[in-house]
Amino acid sequence: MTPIDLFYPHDDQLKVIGRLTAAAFIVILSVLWYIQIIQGDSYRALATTNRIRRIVISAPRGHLYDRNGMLLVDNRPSFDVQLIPNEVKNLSQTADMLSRVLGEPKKDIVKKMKLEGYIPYLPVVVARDVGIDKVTIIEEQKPFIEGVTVQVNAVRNYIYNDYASHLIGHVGSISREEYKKLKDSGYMPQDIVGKMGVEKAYDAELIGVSGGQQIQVNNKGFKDKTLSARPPVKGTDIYLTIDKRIQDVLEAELAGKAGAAVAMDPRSGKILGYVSKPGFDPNMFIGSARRSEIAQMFRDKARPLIDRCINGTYSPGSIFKIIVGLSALESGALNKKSRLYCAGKFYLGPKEFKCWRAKGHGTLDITEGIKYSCNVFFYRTGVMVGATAIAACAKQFFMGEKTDIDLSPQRSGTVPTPQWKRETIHAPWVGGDTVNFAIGQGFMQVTPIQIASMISTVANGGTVYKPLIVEKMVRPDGQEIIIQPVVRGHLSIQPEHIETMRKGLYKVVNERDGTGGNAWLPNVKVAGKTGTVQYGPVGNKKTHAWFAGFAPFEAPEIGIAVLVESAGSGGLNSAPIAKKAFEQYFQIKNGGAAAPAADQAQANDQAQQQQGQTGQAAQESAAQPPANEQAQGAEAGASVQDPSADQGPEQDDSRKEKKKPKLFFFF
Amino acid sequence: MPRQRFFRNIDYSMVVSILLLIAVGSLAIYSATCSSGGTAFISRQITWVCIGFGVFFVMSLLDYKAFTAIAPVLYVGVLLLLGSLFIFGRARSGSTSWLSIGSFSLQPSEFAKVVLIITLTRYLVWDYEKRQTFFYIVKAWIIAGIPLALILKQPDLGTALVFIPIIFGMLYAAGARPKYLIMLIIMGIMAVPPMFMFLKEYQKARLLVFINPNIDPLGAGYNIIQSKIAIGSGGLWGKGWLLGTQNRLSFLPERHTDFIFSVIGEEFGLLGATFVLLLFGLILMSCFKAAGQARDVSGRLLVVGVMVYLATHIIINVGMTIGIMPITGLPLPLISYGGSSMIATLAALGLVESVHIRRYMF
Repeated sequence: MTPIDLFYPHDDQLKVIGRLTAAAFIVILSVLWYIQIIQGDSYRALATTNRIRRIVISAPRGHLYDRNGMLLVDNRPSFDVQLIPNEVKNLSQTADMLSRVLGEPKKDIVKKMKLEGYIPYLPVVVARDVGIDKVTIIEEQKPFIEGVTVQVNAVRNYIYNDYASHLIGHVGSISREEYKKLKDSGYMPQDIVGKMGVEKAYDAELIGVSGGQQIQVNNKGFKDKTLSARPPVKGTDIYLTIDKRIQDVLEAELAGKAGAAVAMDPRSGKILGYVSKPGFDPNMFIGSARRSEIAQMFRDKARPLIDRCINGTYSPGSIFKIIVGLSALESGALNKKSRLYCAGKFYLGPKEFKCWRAKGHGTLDITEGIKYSCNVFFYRTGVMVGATAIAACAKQFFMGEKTDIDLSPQRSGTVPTPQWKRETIHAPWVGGDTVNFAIGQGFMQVTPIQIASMISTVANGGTVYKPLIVEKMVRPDGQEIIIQPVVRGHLSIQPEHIETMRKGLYKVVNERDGTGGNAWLPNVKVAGKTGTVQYGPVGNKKTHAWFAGFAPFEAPEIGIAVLVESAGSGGLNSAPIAKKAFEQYFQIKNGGAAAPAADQAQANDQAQQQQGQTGQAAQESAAQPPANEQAQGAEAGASVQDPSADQGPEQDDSRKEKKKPKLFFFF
Repeated sequence: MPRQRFFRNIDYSMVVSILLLIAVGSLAIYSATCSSGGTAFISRQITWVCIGFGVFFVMSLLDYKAFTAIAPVLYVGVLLLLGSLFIFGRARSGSTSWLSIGSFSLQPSEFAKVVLIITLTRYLVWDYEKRQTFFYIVKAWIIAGIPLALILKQPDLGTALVFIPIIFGMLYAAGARPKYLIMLIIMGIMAVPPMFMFLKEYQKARLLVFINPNIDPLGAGYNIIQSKIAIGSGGLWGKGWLLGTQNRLSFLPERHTDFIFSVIGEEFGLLGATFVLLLFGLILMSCFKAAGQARDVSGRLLVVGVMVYLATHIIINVGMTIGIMPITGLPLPLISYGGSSMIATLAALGLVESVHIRRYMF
């Protein structure tokens, strides 16, 4: 009997609706009575004498391994000082005290509290990885500073410090901007996220799923009991494609220099070694103690944070002759028997362009042109083929475009064409531009990863692969995700032309007077091309040294691009680095190098590199002439970018915004 | 209509109940926001109350037939508003339900509910002779289905949940066959598990947490636990205005909007909560009276629609704060902070009053 029955007993429909509503109200009132009267005392106890605190237990990030399962990055415990804004009685006084103990500016601490203060009872991390001495002081003072606690967390441990640092990257506290962008994917203000390299590109995989606890604490800040909890789930382990033993060689060879080296498997695009120097120690970004070092690193003129492999652009120099040669063969301007004459000089109208060998190379076919890296040969070829056709060929290798490697920020480089020059520099394309272009000077700009991809493509007969950095991922539940090679494209160049070019590259290393003799190995046939690049203003005598090569010649398994800045000639300074890597690769393949598990703790195993170099003496007696190629193009230097002066990090929005299964919050 | 008749026939118990609810709501909003926003929230809320009362009186002065007459225009207008959300809408916690107009933001789905009631009334009366057929129900669902689909797309699960009782309630009151309606309800319930797959992650989380708050102690479960602690600790008398620790110490989430009833339960106790429910009961009773005395079918249907709309809001919102309903983000009418909800509710009550005042006019 509801009141409506009294009013209008004849209206059945209203009666039913009224009774349903009344029933719902009665249920609500009963539940209210139950909660407030029957259970009132216990809820009152919860509300007044206790405080509930939400604790996020961050998941340990996934480990990083090399392709053979050698551990490269894991986690270690760290003490974090936290603060619960709602419980701080006197903000200024507490910040003062923390600032004194931690040695951090007071305003930084206050700022951190404000970033996260709006989430009730969620602790704010004030300082990470605090030394045990400071932890002791804070624990002693705890009764006097309400709201401050110390928590143990897992933090990143980069075992080999400055090692493949640009590939691995580093982590750091999520920034305000990143948080805004990522919070819908489940990220939280206190998260540690990847800032660079694999750590950033695969952050959603590595970060894992945070656990949570709702605990009851007493008024001293100690835990009374756990109300509910969920354990964290460790992040996915990632096996990189690099082989630590090859990486070791490249790291050692480039140590103390500025430059980059990328080794790639031409059969799949998997990166075997990835070095950019100078590098940095990613451990520096852990905790707050090394703030000044980080600041110094950002100011460092050598720019250690720049990944030269993908974000440094250089003229390709003579390496580019591979592409000019291929375009000439494909366009029919040359065939494999065509011979051109080099007298040491080349005239375009009144302008004189010199070969690096003043007395000239005489009559050469294309393989010999490559072997001697004869400038005049390629000046002539370039003029015959034309800039547009050369550029088209370069674009088949995806030059002038960012590679699809999972790292960022990346630069695209430049493939100049007459149209490009008109639109960008607002000047017409002149004959001298083509001549410079033909020897890879002038406007042409590449990144080392593009050259590694190019040489691997020539090596495998024309397939361009995506540069892969991850071999497989292993989820905590044991599920494995194997990354498959990705084909970016195929060259539309006839196989016989590629084969002619490969023969030329073979001669560079293996025939007397070839410019790449320093990459020669006794048991394995190596092929490659050197490059020596002028840069900076006209008259700068310093040169960058390039070498790009692959081995074995018959069925290539490894392709390498090496660039050393301001080092001199490619044949003298870069070819030996590639040689060391080839040597190591085949030593591993033939079982010569140590088993991977043996040197877990050892960063380098120099000793092994010394073994098996029996062919060394024989090779040296063959007395390869020092390759001294200098492109003397008149306008060559003018527009060549100095990579160290113009390597501003590019805008980078490439973080994978994959939804990651994290704790769901809504406020 | 002569002014005397307006003042003679208006339902004063309803107007007084509305005013008292708004007063209690304002006290609670102030208590919930004074520490973070001072008087900013409460003064904005009072502005909306003033606008809302203007709308209330205009709606009750006008003949409700005028609204059913322009129902198609209102319907198309609301569809356009809802559609524009996908272009200009602003996202908050996972759904795009707000339109920004200058410094204000408008929630079109609040008004969609009132327009739905008017449009359905127009259709149900227009096709009244066929009310015993199954197609009567199907056509009503098609009319309601278009805005419902747009609202689900936002996604605003709460508003969509309110649509369903309104449609069924009005169909039932119009005289559709209960057999068909019950059949549809059973089919609908059976379709729930497959539909679950289409929900967004956060919506699934909310529903799952409703079943077991402990699966997510830091997220959605936190809200339910804290809300129950707030209400439970209020006891019989409450802790007193501005003295609720759960509220003032920011334990309560969204305490000035969705969880405002928790603030009332904590600070004013069982007595205060019962008082609020009693006032809502009085308003609903006035609606029943108006529906029973309505001079024609369209008046009756309009009032039934509004009644079900308010009752659903109240039951879902209060039920959510005490843990017997899932968290759907529906405001408590006349009490929760928010302009769109306040104005839409007062407009709907204005419709009821318009029907009520004209009960003797034939």
